Amino acid sequence: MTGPVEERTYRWPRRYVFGVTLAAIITIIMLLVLWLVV
Amino acid sequence: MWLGVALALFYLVYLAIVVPAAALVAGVTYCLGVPARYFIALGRVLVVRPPGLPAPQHQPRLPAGADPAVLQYFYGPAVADAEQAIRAAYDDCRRFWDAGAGRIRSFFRGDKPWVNRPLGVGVAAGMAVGTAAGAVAAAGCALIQLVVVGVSAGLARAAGAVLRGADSAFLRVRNIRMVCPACSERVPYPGYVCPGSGCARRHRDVRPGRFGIVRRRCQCGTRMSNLLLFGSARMAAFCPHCGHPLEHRPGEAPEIVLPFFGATGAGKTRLLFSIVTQLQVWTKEGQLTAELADSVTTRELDAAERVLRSGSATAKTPVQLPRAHVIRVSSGKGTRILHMFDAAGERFYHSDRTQELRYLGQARTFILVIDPLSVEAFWGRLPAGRRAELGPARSTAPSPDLAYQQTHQEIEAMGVPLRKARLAVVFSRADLIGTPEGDAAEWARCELGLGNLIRSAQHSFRETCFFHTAAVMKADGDMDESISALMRWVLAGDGVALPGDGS
Repeated sequence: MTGPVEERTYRWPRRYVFGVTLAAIITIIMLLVLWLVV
Repeated sequence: MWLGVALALFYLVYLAIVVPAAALVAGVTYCLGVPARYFIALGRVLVVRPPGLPAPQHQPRLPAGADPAVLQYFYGPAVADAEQAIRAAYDDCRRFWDAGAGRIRSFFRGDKPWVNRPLGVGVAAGMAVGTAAGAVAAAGCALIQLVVVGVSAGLARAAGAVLRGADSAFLRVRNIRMVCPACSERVPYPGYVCPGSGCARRHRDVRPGRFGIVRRRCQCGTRMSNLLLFGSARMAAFCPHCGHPLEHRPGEAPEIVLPFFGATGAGKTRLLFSIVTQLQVWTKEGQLTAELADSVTTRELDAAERVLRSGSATAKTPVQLPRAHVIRVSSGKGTRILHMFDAAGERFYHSDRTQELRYLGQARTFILVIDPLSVEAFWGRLPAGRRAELGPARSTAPSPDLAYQQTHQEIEAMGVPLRKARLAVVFSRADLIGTPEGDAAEWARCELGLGNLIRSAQHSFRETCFFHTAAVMKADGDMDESISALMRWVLAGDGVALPGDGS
């Protein structure tokens, strides 16, 4: 575990990585589905 | 017999339905369950952060002597988090797999083997295929996360480089070159003390980099500005070379280095006091704002006006390396920070001592102070009565030529382009010997016999100007006009508009 200062500093960058990763995966899945359907 | 065949057929139908169904259910469960567990682990590591997460094996470490700040997320911690998420997902998937394996074993240990074992076979086959597919999907998700981290790290580094470039361009456009008043070294960028209450951690290089792109966080948790563009000058600065505090808020305004040189007793300190007092007079009159920019300058120059008003002699300058007197001057054309260096005359007689005056290499305008009374040819021509009268004020130092040549050589050796530099040659004691009519350079050539010095100065420097100065205060508290004339010429080269220069 990192210290409390690091936890506070990295809170938003971590959420950013989580959000962007999730968005990228959803996008790829949607593109795959679209490709399969069309 | 027909009953046996019917039962066998029924059992085959049972197998044909149950085994693929069990395999399908297990396959779908594991195909979706494995990447789902990866997502859950990712959320736990990046968002929820519960206690008990597996520790990352490769924690980013700071090199010895690094600034006491928290690493920027994309300079190591993001990769450690990715590794932590993968480890947490792997642990979860192992538990998920173990639970499935336990269920399969229970199918084979049950008391109705003909019923349960085909189920176990179907589940095992489905679980194997589903886990493989799920692992590929989870690996794809992890790859996407690593790509996101990599691209973000690249963008962070690019943004840092752009901001550093913008800050350097900002300093260059505003012609800001910082100098330490204590060690005279050029300061590429000031270090800063953490502004947090009770924290005195020193950050040597706050510019965008591994500790932050726009801001950084000290280990105490306090946020700090990263660039002069973003207001880092408001924090307490220090010199990254010698650690000396830089109280004059470097980086806010262009800095002007003004070295005074000349023989012992030539009147350098008195001239410096006169310049400071003239600035204070203009400040009182509201024509500009001049403030002593640090505590050492305040302590040493606060008495300048009193010394000049009383007419008493200035104390002898110590031979130790001089510290700059720092003055912030704000006029119609903006703000400038003056670093005025007044070294003892003894420092200009020997090359090894002159070499120590590193500030000479940072200056573009120099002030040579010459006491005409110290020149034997001039002194010898004075009447005896006048000599007796002026004797106590006379400098007994060696010829001014020696100090000039010595300093001239060292300035050149320090790499100062003399063809871009300016020199003010100041003949002091005009209050005692009067201000001769005509050209001061011609007077010095004829009366003082300083032809070689004059020729060398005019040949070497881009611009040379000669002044007679009287470093005395008039009864009404104003300084002699010769001081303001000298200041106007000296500071005009750096774009400082002083009262009375007509610009």
